[in-house]
Amino acid sequence: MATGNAMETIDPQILADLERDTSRDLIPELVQLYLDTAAARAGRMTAALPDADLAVIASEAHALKSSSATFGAFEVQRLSLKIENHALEGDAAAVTALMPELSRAMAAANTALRAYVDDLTE
Amino acid sequence: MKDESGFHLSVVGMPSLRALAPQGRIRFDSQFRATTWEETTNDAGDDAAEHRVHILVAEDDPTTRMILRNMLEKAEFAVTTANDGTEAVAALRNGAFDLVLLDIQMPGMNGIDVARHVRRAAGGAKIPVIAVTSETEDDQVDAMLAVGFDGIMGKPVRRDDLIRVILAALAHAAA
Repeated sequence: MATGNAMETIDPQILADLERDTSRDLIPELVQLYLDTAAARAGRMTAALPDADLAVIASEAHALKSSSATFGAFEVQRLSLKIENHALEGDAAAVTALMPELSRAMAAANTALRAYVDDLTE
Repeated sequence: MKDESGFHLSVVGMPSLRALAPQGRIRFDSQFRATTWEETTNDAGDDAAEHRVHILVAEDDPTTRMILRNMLEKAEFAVTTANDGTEAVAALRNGAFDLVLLDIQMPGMNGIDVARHVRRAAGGAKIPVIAVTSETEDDQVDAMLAVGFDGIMGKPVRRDDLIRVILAALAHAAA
């Protein structure tokens, strides 16, 4: 089991529940799919910022919030919710201000989830 | 089907469901909570696959879609997936399903629109439709209930909860 700051970024109990509900063998594939999809969603949100396309940002943030909850990436989930709400309220400045924080949270979740998978497959 | 103690649903040929409860018949109380289990004979034999409950899953997030498929197939449901609402409607035109699981927020046609389509289709009034969603605002839940969803599952989905809600909806439809 990974320890330290990496595991503080995600909730290992959520991952244990997911492992029990699906299968241990499927977790690496699920984690990779989540990370790839999350990166793509963040990319579309960033691309939508210059034109303040808040409908796209709200939709992508909503989906990112939901999938991040599945993997216990609670900081990504929290920030996605805030971004979704700001986008729905039409507050482009608040969305823009949160994007760097989201990027950092996603990087931390990426590290933690990869450590979790490494431990599973050792 | 219904008897004096509540609704029940045969799940013969679904060993994974029997693993959730020890024997082949699931019994529900009046609130459709799985409560007790009754010894029964598994008479499905080699015909089990022909009698599998067929579920359509419409979910645009690929990770959630894979998770739902895995959970349902482990419980020996037959599963067809759709990547969005438009694909779901096409699948409904081309196939017969015993139950539909719908994500609510999907690009294009959302889950509520798909549910309306199900309800308007011939025989669609009796097909259980369950929302799988992170939408929790009262007005959104009200909209789901107004269109006739038979159940609402919050995300992230837990397997036991999902199977319980599905079985309850199937039992209700069969009653």
